[in-house]
Amino acid sequence: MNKYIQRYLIITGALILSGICIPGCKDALDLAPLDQVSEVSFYKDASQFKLAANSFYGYLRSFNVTNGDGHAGSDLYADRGVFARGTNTAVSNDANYNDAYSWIRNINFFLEKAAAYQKPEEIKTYIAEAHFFRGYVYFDKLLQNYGGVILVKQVLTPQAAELSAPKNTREETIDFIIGELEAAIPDLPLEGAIAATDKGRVSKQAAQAFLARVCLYEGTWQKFRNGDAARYNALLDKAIAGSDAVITANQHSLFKPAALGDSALKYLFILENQKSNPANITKTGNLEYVLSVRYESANLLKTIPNAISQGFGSGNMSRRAADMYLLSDGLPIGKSSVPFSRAGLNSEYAGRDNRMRYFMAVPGRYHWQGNANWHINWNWSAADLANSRGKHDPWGANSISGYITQQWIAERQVPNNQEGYDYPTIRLAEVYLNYAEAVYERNGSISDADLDKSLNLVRNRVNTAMPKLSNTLVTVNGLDMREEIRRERAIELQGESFRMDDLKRWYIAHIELNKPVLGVRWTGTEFQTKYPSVNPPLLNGDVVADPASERKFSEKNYLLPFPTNQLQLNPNLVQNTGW
Amino acid sequence: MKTLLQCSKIALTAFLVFTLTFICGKVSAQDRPVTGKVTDKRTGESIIGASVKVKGRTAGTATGVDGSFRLNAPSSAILQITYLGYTALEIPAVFDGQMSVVMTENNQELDEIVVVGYGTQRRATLTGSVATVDSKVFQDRGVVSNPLSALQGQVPGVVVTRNTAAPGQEGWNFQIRGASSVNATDPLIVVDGITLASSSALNSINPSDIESISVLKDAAAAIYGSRAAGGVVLITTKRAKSGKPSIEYNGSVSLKNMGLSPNFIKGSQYGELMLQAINNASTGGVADPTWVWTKYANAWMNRPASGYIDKRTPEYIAGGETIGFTDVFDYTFFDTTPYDILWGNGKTSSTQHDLNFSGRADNLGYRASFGYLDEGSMLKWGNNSNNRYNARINLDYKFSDRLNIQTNISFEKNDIVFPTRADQLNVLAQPGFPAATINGKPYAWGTQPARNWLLELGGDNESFNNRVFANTKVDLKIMKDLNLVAQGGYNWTMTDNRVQYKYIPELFNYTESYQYQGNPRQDQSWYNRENVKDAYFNTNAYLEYKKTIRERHNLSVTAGGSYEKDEYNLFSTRTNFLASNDVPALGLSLGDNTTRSNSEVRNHYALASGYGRLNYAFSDKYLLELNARYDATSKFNKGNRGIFYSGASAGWRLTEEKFMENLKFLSEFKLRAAYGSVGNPFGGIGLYDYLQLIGIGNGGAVLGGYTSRSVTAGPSGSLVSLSRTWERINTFNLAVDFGLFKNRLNGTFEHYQKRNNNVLLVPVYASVLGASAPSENMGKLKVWGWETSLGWRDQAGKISYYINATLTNNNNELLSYGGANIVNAGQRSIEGYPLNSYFGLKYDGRIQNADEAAAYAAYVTGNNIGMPGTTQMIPGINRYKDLNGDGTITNAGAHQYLLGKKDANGNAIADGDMEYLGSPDPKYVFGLNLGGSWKNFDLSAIFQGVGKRLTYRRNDWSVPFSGISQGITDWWVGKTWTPANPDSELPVLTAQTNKGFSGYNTYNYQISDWSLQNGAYVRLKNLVLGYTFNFAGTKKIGIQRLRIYAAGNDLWELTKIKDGYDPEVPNFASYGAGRYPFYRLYSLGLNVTF
Repeated sequence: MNKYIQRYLIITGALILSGICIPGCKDALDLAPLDQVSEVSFYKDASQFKLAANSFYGYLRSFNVTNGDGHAGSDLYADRGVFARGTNTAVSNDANYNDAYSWIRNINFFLEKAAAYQKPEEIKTYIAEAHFFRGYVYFDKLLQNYGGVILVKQVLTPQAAELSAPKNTREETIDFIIGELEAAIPDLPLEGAIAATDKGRVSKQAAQAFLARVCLYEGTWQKFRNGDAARYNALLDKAIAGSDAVITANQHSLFKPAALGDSALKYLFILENQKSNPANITKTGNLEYVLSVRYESANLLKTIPNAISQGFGSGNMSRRAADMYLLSDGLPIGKSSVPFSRAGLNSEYAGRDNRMRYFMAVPGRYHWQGNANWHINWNWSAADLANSRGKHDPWGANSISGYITQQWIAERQVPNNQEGYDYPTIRLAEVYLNYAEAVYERNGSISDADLDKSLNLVRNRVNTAMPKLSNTLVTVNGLDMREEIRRERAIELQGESFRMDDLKRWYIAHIELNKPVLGVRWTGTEFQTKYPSVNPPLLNGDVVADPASERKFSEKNYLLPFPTNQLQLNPNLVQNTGW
Repeated sequence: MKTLLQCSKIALTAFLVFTLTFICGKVSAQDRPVTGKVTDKRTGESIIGASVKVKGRTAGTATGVDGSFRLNAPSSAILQITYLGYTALEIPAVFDGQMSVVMTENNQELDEIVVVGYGTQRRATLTGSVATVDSKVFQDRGVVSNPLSALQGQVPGVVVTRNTAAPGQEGWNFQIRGASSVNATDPLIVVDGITLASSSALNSINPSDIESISVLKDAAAAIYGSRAAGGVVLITTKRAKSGKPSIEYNGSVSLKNMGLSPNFIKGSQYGELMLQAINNASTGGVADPTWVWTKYANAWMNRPASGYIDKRTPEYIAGGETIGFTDVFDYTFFDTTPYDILWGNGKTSSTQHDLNFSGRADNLGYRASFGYLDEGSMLKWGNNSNNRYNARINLDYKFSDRLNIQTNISFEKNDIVFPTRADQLNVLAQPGFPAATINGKPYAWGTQPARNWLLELGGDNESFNNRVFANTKVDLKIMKDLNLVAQGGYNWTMTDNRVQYKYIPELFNYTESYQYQGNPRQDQSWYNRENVKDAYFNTNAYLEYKKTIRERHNLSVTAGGSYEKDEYNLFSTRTNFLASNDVPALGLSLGDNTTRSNSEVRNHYALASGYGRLNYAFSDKYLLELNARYDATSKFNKGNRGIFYSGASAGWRLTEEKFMENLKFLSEFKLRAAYGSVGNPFGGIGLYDYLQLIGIGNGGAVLGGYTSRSVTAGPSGSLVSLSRTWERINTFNLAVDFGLFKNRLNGTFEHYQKRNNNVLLVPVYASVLGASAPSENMGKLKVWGWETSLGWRDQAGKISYYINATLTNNNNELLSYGGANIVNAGQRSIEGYPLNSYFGLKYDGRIQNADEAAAYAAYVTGNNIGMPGTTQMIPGINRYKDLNGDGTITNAGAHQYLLGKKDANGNAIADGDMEYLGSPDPKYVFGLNLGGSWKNFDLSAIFQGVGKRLTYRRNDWSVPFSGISQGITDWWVGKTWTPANPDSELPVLTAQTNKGFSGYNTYNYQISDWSLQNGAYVRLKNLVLGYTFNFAGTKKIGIQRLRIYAAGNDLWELTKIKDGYDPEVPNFASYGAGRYPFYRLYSLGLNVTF
């Protein structure tokens, strides 16, 4: 008997031993992440919502996020880009499209977590930011590129109907964007009310300015396509109101320090916290940027990409851009009495809008560039000149037009790729120009008072002696007010990726972009004599940077094609017309 | 009549025996005659030629044609009867009457005890596919840095590949029966019953501690359930054998000598060929004479006799700069190539020493072993070494007849040093550089320090790997037939990685007339320290019941459970701007806080399981095995945690049947079949996929002041999955094992199929989803193949020899890929094709003249294959087919998933012009092992190879002038197209140009049926010649055994690879260590046993 008990005990013990894990491991298999937070452990207080809102700021358009989408290219640059040429093809996979929806998912996720948060008052600013950015992404990444798109307003699962939904109409998309921005405005702070530790966050003015941009865009898009007048006028009214609210809020002002004189605009674009201009003005001196993507060179905190910082000599401008600049009497070439000549390498730069010689590299003038040829002491002394790149030679190895931009080129001593100037996502100058255009397009006219309140501030910032744009100036000289408003926009905002969108909404892209892209006058000018061995293609004596035969912008190019993989994945998504 | 004859034979024999006994009795008073007959147990036939001798005497006799023998023996003598292929016998001599000696076939194969999952089995009754290798595979081969390296060509169905030969980072990889999934499917490694968390732990195990390796290939692996899809490798380490204590020393010294590797172009050809290449690529066929590379090419052709131009000499300045590199201060035209500078004579040496003590006293068995490996590097610059130290103690103690305890403790330390700037092995400079300045100092050419100096001075990347594995096994006999085995193991690995990126302050031109700015500068230096700890805890216990009923029914049942948990722990910290090159330390930095950073990774997972197996054998004839496992893991959410796997196999040994007895030549014939399911835990499943993780980053927008970047938070970009599960692979195996001619010929043929009907794939949804969807069990993969092995061993006179051959072929087809099948050029996994198949263009000959150029130019508009412009269609470039006839050539389209499909009219449905080019998988992988011994000599050789393989390796070192400023290989010289050589192997020679089209190379050498290479090869992996001393003298000084040998690895090969690389180099010779050439290894070794 004893033996049996012994055996029984041993067997039982063995079974327990061998089976020890099965019951014991029920808990032993519940292992939570050790180095990551999860939704179970996050979104518990307002500061965590702030961190979540911080992630939206990466969605703003900046130096490095303008390529590959419909904002790129224009008639002002001689870059032979596929978008301006209209030769872009339908791509299979489009990072621009994918990014937009992944960003929207992040915002939707945020809004769902915020809706579940017990004390909404604590996080209302961040909720407002979320709405702003949702509107921003739909407009900047999607509507401007593809027109109406599928609206995703909540976090989706793979079973969601949106995955196989037809796209929403353009109207629905725009209305959603406007709704988002209008939802954001009340809870956003005035620029001046934003604490120093939060500078750079979206202000009420930023949302209003962006709302105005959206409404002007869509209002004119509809107007020039014979849309519903009631609708586009209502949109233009919103554009006027939005920009006017920013102007009258008086939270921002144009950058024009007296010490920089007529070079203010040049240094605005390369303004850094290190000495980056002769007057040693830093970013605190800039109240013009309403919303910007902020960079900082110190400790390489966030620095701008190579393509921008090494851009000298690579940005060929077009004749169209060069001829846009008014002469010093405020009148365009052909109407002006100021002497104008293309005979010399730099003769056409004389007597022009001051912005011309600062936006563009002037042949024969000394130029500086940060990595090797920086301003030693900003006094144009012999030492300073000796360290420059030398006098600008307008026809170099990479020249295709003879015009070169010098915007965004740092002149202080800073290695390439380490510059830290901000990118203006929205700046006051644009708000002024939006206002002027919206008023004009809404009413068919604009008063001198409205021009002085807006456009003339921009036009005369560095051209103090130039006559203002006025109804009289237009009438007397046989100008076209719309053309002059558009001209101002083209010049002032030339390097900020507005031009392509402008041409599209004005419905003139198929005209303007299909013209040959010209460069400098060659035949009979100093170019021909100075560069006898160079034989650029010519058209009537002008350099042809891109012949009309290469320009194929047609009706379909007003919108980008949806990426073809999306059409495969969602058969209900109908491709844009013509693609 | 026959009977009569037999009777008379017996009578005669009896008479003779009697007579001889009588005579011999006279000769030796003690000796008496013994007679007998030796027969085979199974067939009853007499055995001819068996050796019979008296134990302790040297002379003996052999059986005659009828199997009989006769010899004289003293009373109480023990007779030793031996015969090849039969179990040796020792039996007492019987003097009255004829002895009847019955010998049984001794097939080591059949009697071998094979380690299987949670237990052992006899080879004879195995029903699953289990291949084994024994310790001999690792012995006497010279330096064996990794056990896997010795497995090449040894096991049918196991394909072992390597990526590089860099010491300590060879990147050995092995796959059992090909892929089982599109996801990684590593084999599960089990050492002495303890599973390893990762197969990488194999890298530092000392090969000479390995007693045997079993590879479970089919349903036999189902007892390892969710982890067995890639097969299971069971490693058993050596233990004490019975007998007196012994000390064994094995040592070898090896010479490494660079094997196949690309040749680099010499300066004497460089300038001319470069100019030709630039000319060809330039518009009009003439290079721009003012372009810097044109001038450089010309300078090479007119190089000064001294081979040197110092740009700072007055003469040169006066002559005006003629070449035009602004940052450089000299031009060197020496007779050097960058490869020769880096590798020199390509020789180095390695040594290996192994020492072990083992013995067994009453209840205690012990084996302590120590190993040391010092692997040298062929790289002549920088520090590069691999040192491995192993210690292992395996103890077993018998407490009582019921209780045994085994304990194994191993310690492994593996120190690997590699230059931090190993990336400098990637892109080499043009020829002509000096190895050093005139005074032996670091040379730089402008802003580019010479690569050898970056390797030399750039700092060390040191990796110190430590592993301590300890486990204990308790074996308790609970009662007759019932055992309990309980085992606990703890595998602890710790890796300390220290990487220093040094600054290089002094760089000169050749004559040191100019000192360049330091590069990297001091503020660019850094030091990174990383600690990785991984603790793997493993416990399991099982009951084992074995019962034989009525001598015919053999039943055994095993059932148990296990729990395993892994804790992974990494922290990494870095300091930039080092204060000192000589003392890298995290605290010695000149930078502020922003120059320091740190990170941490911690995670864990656990697995709880129950498993069991049932074996039943009827008379060792009909065999059945069932096994099963239930696995539950922390990686899935509750409620979806457990999965059940099972397998069944059966065997039939026909040679045990009566009706087979007449087939005398057949000694063994067994049919086997197995079917089962196994899981794949390695691919597609994360640790916490059931939870939405929130990513925290500190690289957000610059908000607030301009002092910091904001911290951001947001959901990770992948959706949570609550439903997915491990991939389940159903395997089917059909095999035949046979032995012929008394098992001198042995073979196995196996056919297998694997079906993975729930391959984890990431479904592609419309982008509006905004995140990557979780992978789903939605793909279907079919894998099939066969493998065979055939071995012959015999003795011919004093020579005994063996030949074993293995041949494996494996195929797969992706049956379903969830619809996402967009074909682009390259390697893709596409429905209807093998995994990772090549897709590319169809070559259509070369453009030979202007007419053909003009005709081909019509395809330019809309192409996306990098075609030259319409005016750039030069003769000698490749032409590709417009397969879909749409007037342009593209490598992708919207409807590519219909590749290979035809419409109703028989036309190809495809938007692009891709076609299926083949699979990169090696086909017909074979191994041939042969060897023998004669007197005291032994010789063995191993050949290994691949019968069919496609390789696409047109990377920077394979394409002529793929980068103009790089070192260029020379395999292509004389093979490129010229008008005089229109049928050349290669297209026209081109390079980058400043006027014209720079993309000819990319265009010509892009993936197409033309650019693929034949990757088949055969290689002599190993050759050993040994001699065992058998002098009386050695015994006297206590030496039991003394053997010396010479061995060689990778001595010879046959390959069709064109680009000069070793055929084993994978498709893309990856950068860094991937550019380390393979070597041939010559070894001298010594084995001594005391």
